[in-house]
Amino acid sequence: MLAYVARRVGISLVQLLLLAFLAFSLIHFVPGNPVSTMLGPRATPAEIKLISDSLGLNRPLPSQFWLFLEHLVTGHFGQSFTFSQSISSLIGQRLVPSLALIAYGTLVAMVIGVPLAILAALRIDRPVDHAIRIFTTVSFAMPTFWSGLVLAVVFALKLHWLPISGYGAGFWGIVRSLTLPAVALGLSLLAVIVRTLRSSIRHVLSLEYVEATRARGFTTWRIMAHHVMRNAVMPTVTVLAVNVGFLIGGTVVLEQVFQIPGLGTLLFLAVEQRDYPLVETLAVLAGSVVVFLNLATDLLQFVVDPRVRPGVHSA
Amino acid sequence: MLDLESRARIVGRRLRPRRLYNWELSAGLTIVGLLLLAALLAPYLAPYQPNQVSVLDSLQPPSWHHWMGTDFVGRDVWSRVLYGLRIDMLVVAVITYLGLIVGVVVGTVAGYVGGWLDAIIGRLADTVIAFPFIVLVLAVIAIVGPGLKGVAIGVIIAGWALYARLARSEMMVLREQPFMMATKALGYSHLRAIFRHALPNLVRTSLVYSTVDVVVNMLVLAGMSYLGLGQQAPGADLGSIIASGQGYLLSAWWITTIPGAVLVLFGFGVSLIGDGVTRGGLAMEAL
Amino acid sequence: MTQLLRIEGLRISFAHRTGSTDVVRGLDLEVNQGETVGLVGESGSGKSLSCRSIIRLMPPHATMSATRVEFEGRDVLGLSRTELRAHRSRNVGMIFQDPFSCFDPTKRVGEQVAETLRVNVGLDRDAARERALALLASVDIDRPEQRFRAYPHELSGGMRQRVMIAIAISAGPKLLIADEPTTALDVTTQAQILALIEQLRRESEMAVLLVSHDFGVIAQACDRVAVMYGGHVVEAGPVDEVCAQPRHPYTRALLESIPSVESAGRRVRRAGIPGQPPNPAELGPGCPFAERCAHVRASCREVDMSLIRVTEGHLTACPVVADSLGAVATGVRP
Repeated sequence: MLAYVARRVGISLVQLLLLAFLAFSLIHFVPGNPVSTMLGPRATPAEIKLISDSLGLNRPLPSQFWLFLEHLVTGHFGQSFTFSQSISSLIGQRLVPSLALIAYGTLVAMVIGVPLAILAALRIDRPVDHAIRIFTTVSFAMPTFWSGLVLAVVFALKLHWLPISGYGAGFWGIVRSLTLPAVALGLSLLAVIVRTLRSSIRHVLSLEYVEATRARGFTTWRIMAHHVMRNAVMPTVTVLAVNVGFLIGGTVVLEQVFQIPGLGTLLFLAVEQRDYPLVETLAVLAGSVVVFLNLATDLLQFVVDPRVRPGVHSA
Repeated sequence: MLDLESRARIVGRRLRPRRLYNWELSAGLTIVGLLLLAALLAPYLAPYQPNQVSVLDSLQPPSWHHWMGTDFVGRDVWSRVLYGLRIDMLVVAVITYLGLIVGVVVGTVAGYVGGWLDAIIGRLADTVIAFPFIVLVLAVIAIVGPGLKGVAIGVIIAGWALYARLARSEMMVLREQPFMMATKALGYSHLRAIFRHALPNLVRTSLVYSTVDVVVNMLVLAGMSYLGLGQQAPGADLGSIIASGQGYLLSAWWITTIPGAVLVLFGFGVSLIGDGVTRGGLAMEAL
Repeated sequence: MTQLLRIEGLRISFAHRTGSTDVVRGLDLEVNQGETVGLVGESGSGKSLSCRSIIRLMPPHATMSATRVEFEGRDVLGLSRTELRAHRSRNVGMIFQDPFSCFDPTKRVGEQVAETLRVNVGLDRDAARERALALLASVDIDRPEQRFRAYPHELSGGMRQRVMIAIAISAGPKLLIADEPTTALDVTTQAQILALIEQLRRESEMAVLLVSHDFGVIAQACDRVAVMYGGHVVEAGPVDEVCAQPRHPYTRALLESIPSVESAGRRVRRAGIPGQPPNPAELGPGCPFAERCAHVRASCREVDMSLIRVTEGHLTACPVVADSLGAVATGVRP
């Protein structure tokens, strides 16, 4: 088991390194000179050279990469030149709204998605199942920013139930202000959850032990709640972790729609202002979150499934 | 409500004959076909020039003259949607299938050759996949600059990896198949073995997956245009039209709502095709 | 003896793309209180599905119908969903072929026993635990406290089957259905499990319906036997009599394919019977064994199957054999 964990952590570390390398090499290998794009068409060569020097862009590539890695590992990401603030403090200020939005969006998707998946799995190939599939397909095809706007029109502008944008104060203020974007985010994630969960429930239902519980006369509710779901959720958790990247993407756009002061807005501003160090750092950070979550779910398997744990009660 | 027993109902529940008719595929092809036709025929279908400003007609609700109303400077939304759809469909098709070609070729070669090349490509693909898609696209836009070119480069850089992973893992299975062994035994060259005999098998899986990718790429493209980083004014695409109506949500709902609905319809149609193809594929296996 | 279970005219069919296939085609079966009845046949003969009909446990796409399925005189087909649950939980216990796949892999086995006691017997948590430990001991599991906390994959096959039996008998059922209970086990364990079932049967006076493809197992454990072939019962009667004087060509072939009935645990070698078991989809009217039968007549492929009495309680579906014995068709069910 320890060997497995060590190997798995090793893979993640390699991935993080590659992630940093990828973010780093983007600037150097993608067509276009970042500094001249940043300064606009009227910049003089001297200005370009000055900025390039200050970013260390004229140093040999390996030493640039080394410096970049050092920054990442120590958490001293350097200075953002558009915000004239340290990047770490910028990120610190804006981390919570983004995390809250992602968590809330996932929650919404689960609350709607899990019952739908159960219903679809129990009524496979029947009208209900088809209706659910059509519904999730449509929700998957909706651009988050568009569904966000439509929700805002209905629930904020017409009904005045919820604030149209911004980030409220206090727990309930935050919940209220994040509800509309979270629903939009959750809807985009719904299809993934329902499809994965439906097929894994269907698989578990076909297993013999479920037949055995039915033979014991247990109610459908008991069978689902105590015997099926526990064994069916793991694939969905894994898929959710893989799709965190997708969620982060949705957040970037939704934070713009709803004017939420999170990392998404920060990334957008950084891109608009061509603040490369900030873009680079945020990109690596977002990628690391995905890598870490994938690692976490893989390790979670140990907790959930006793079969992969070392035997204590071996016969 | 939740009823396991219904699957084992006793007294003569007649099972409906299995549908041979694949409604998903037909419906999806119809929707996407109509949208494609509308996009291709935009110059003939559009009653106005997409950028023709007519301030006197601004913010008109949908009517006989303006099916989808007009925007804040009086441009005809229906005409703009047609041209927007045209550019969006073109860009999405190009970026998705360029990514597919690059990914499949890279993945196939990696899976066939194996060794260190395969290890590098495999790790690289995994890493690209780990990157949040939009974040990667945004990072590329930051370097290349706003516009469709930036979005396209970003999506291809991010998109090839999944196809590469798919093709690579299938190639590794395929390599051990008897018919691939046979090509070796017959003395065919590597390239011939890969391209003539393995590729057709790999491409099918990637094509099925591409139906999902087309939807995602369309959403990303629209999102970037919405943020002002994709299609640049005065050119219109669906995302930028939606953004342009954001200030008029209450007074002119049609500017934002209708182009979005067209996007949803497109995504829905493509997903249906994907479902239909998958189902058809499974049915084939069952036969 | 009092009748416990009575099945008449049971039909089970699977729906598929082009229509449906009858897998069980008019089965009759009777089980009396406290007796052990064997249901023997090759795989695909419909025996597993038939025994599931007693608790209406059909797989997806399968439908069952019958003239009569009665348990203690009550119509099983007419039970409401709640009544059916009560029937499954109290009247009938069931154990399965593969004792591993029949457990929830993520729950400790003891908890799975205790859960059944809580839900089906209505015990509270402590009482259920207490009783579960007692049950584990009663199925000859040593160190029950320790086994209670084991996960299914941590137990041996025989141990798992014992726990499965404990679950099946936890509510004191009147009938235990054992569907190939020993097939997945090695020979020694097989004998122990059969002995355990026999012991429990005697102690609690429950009836046992033992389903097996292995005539050796059946001969060792049962009072009466019904031989299934192609979805029909082709012969039924007291085990000793059927073994000594089989009255159907299929039974004869089945018995000849095992070296000796005494060598329980030996598997039936299908190679002993020429030809292949029938594909249910291709069966027409008449005797399903006709294709492989040495004594086949033209009428065998036309006349519907019906059971003919040979002696009291011994029935065969073969008119050829019956003719040679001078027996007459009866309406008596096995």
